[in-house]
Amino acid sequence: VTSRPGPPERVSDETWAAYLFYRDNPKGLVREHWWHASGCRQWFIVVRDTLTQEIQATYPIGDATSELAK
Amino acid sequence: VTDNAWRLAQGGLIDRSRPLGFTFDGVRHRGFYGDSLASALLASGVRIVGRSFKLHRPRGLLGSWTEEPNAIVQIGSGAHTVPNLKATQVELIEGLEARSVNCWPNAAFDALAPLQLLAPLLPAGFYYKTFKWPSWQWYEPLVRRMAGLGVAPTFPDPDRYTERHASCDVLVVGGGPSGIAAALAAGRAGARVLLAEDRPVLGGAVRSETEHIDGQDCASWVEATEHELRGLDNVHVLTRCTAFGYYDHQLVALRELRPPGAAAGCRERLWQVRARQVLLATGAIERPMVFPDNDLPGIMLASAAVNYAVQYAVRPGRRAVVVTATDSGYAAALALQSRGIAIAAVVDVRPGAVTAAESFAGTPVLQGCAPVRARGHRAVESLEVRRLSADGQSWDAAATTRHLECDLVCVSGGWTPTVHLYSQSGGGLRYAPDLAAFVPAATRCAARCSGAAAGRLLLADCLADGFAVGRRAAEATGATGNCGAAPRSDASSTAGVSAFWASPRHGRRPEWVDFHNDVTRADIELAVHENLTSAEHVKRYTTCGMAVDQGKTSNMNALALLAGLTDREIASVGTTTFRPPYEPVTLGALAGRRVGLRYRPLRRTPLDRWHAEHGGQLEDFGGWLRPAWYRGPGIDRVAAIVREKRAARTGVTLFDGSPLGKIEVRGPDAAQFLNRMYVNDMSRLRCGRARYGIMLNEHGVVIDDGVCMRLAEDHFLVSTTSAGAASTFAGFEAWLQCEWPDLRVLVTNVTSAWVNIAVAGPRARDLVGRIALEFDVSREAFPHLAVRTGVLGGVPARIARVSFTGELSYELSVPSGYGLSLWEALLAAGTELGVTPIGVDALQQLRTEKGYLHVGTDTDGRTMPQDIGMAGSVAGKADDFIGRRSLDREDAQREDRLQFVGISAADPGVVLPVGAHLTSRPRPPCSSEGYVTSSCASEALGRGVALGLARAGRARLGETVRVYSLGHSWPARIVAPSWYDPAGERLNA
Repeated sequence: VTSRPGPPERVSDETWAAYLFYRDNPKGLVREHWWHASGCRQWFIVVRDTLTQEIQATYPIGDATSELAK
Repeated sequence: VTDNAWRLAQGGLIDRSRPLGFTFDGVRHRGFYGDSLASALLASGVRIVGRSFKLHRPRGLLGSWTEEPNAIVQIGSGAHTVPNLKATQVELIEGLEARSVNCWPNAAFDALAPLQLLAPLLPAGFYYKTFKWPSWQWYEPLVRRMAGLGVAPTFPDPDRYTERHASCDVLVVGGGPSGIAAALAAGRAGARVLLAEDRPVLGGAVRSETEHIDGQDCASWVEATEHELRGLDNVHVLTRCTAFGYYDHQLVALRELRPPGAAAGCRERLWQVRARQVLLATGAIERPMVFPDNDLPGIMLASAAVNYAVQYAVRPGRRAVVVTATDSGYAAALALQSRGIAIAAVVDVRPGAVTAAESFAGTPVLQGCAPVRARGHRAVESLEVRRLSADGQSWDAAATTRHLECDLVCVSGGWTPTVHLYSQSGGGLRYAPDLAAFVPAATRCAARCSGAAAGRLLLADCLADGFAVGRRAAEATGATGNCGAAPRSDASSTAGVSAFWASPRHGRRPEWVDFHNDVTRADIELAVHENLTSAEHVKRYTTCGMAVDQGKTSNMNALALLAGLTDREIASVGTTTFRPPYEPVTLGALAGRRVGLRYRPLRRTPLDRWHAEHGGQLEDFGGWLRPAWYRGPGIDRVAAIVREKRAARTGVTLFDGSPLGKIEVRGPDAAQFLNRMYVNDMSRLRCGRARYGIMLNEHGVVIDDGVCMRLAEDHFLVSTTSAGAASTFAGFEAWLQCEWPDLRVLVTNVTSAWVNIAVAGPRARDLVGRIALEFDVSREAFPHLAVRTGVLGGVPARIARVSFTGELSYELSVPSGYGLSLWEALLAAGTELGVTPIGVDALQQLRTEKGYLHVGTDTDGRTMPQDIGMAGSVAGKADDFIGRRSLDREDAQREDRLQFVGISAADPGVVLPVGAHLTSRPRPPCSSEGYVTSSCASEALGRGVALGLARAGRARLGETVRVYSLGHSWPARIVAPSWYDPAGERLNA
């Protein structure tokens, strides 16, 4: 999950480049945006273990309770 | 027709009352129902069943099932042909046609056999080393033709394939003793069980066992147990079903074959099974040993020889030598002897396997000896053996070489658990020295292994282990029924094995490691000599373990040789990665029914029928079936396009624009949202007005364009390119949900809900006025880029003055169901105006003439707003929008960017070819300064017109360049991209 930096006039080249091009590839838990493409079209958050492919949690975007629990 | 001279008089699971005729390499043979192609060939005395991949060496059967590396055949002919099957896995049917794949004219006599003499020119990685003059490319086609496998059919596949998605509690892969026991336990416990066996019948290795289970012979036990399993409602048994891939979250892919000869149904079925528990009872594969000329026909795995004798009642030879590093080699010798095959000797590489030796009588046992080499012409005729030194690493200097006459050598180098699927599931492997093999290690992994796959080789252990693991798997899913008693075998066999991979190096005869890919011990030595020491590198350099075979018989020997050559433990060398598929899978099975139009269904407009009935030449445009042009009496494509264009410039035309993407954007924050999505300022768009806009991605690259209409304060309708509707809509959803959930906006894709008919041409107002009685279409009341909603013929309608042709143009939209009525009403009302339907081809040429760009045709994956003349829109907008920050990146500021321009050939009669390059010199070598993206002849302007992308193009207007394509070169000028009516007088008329 990355957030869009802004407003543009206050974003440095480095910050913008990090947003566009640089991605961590961690071994372990990651938070991702997933999209129910063939169904209700809902975007949501999935917490996935990149090593075991285990899905640890799913919750709606902006669900503060789930965010805190993580 | 050959007779079954090598068939045993009795026994076997074949049906002797059902003889079957078949051909191999054009020769007729006979077999029986229950035979495999391989067993029937063996029974007919065919010893050479294939030619090796690289050197065209004569090869015989090594195995009897999936491990077979040599007998690769092509079945059938014409569109039904299937290449690269293993003869051991092909069930015999009447009239079967089979050919060996890599030989000419046949396997027995191969014209390319002399290639063996060139072996020194063809070492591992030879294509980097030899055949360098004049160049490898010169030889490559020839070498590729000489090497290789079967031939893919050139006709469309006429067979049907299907797929099935299923779920179960316990998926058991493998229907051998362990898998059957596991399915029995889990089934009795009440779990929903799927048992998949790749052979035509259950039983696996037990089919060639001579031991007893629960007091019955093995075949009877298998039958009785299968009967019980099939009687359970919660158990489903699949045969001829190979699990070939293990994917995330216990998703296992299996391929089921239709029984041969079955008249109806699909040829293959792809199963995708999601299992709560996966139990892998995939068995083990016997290993060959590495020694000189170990590929002579007649040298086969001991388990295969027994399988041929017991299951198929075929005598694999008359006089056998058994070479073994395992106790199971003795059992094999006994089984063969009991079926009348003389055992010349048992050669045991272990110096002191006394227990086993004692139980074996009547035949010499040569302990501590190994093969020096095999001898024979086209088939093994004798085996030379010699005593090993005490450490087994070299020959005993004092010993002499013994010649053992034989026509069959049965080799048992050890057992390799089949861990492919386990490994694919993420399970780790551990080297077990007592088994001389890699076995599943206890790691966190959802799959469980049992039986030989887990390194438990004895029948009694397989049964007990399978039953226990099956019960545990069922318990894990909550099934707690009574499992009853486990099946038991009272056999007293032993499973001793010692790590023996290859005879001590002796002479220069080739010693084969990978039969399928023609990889020798010398190839692996060469790879190590050239500093390749990782198992993955050696595999790729030598091709050991690749292709159809996937290293089933070669992996362990290759790893062990590599370990020895690099002074490492086998455990530290490790294995190469196992990847799906375990077995080759036909593309037909993977595609299933998603072929042809079902693979990519074409979308049709509401007027599709009308177009087809009125000469519309329907073609695929971005997934939509649309009329390219309309055929008339005596009118070909070129004439039709000229006619349609002339009508647009002088009269009035109709164009079916229904595929145009249409997205409704509603809500109090709709204006603010669209303002963020478009480069152009949408927040100040007035109601009833439309504005052209371009959309960027975050990299600042133009991804779509279209007209944005404001129907009400909180209601917009956005049009997109026909091909871009789905992705633009998805993009809107993603930004709204992920980034700006605070915006109160609802987006709906209404592309197919509305028909869209563009009425264009100088007389368009006249025609629209006759139909749209409720609308004031006068120039003053309805200017360019105005949009009006209302009622047309009693249904809701929308009319917008937008134009893609450069002419006076109205786009009429009504609900799709009324599209045809509107179209026909326009045609009727416009008869005296000469109204003409036009296709996509004419429209594309009209917009090229006008100088309107088409995103994706006249832009590429780097084009930014400033490259298409929209720097002003960016500068004039105060707010942020998607991609804005990227327009300030260094790369965006470069002066040599490719920019959208017109290209004017000096000769007005020239139509520059699309794709032609702008150059500074008449012909290459020189660098490209850009290229032509759209081009056509313009009758209205009396010349060829072209659009393109030119380096720093917008600063070079007026400059002279050359345009080069395929040997031709034309002088031309870079001009502004506005060919027709640059002032826009016709547009605003």
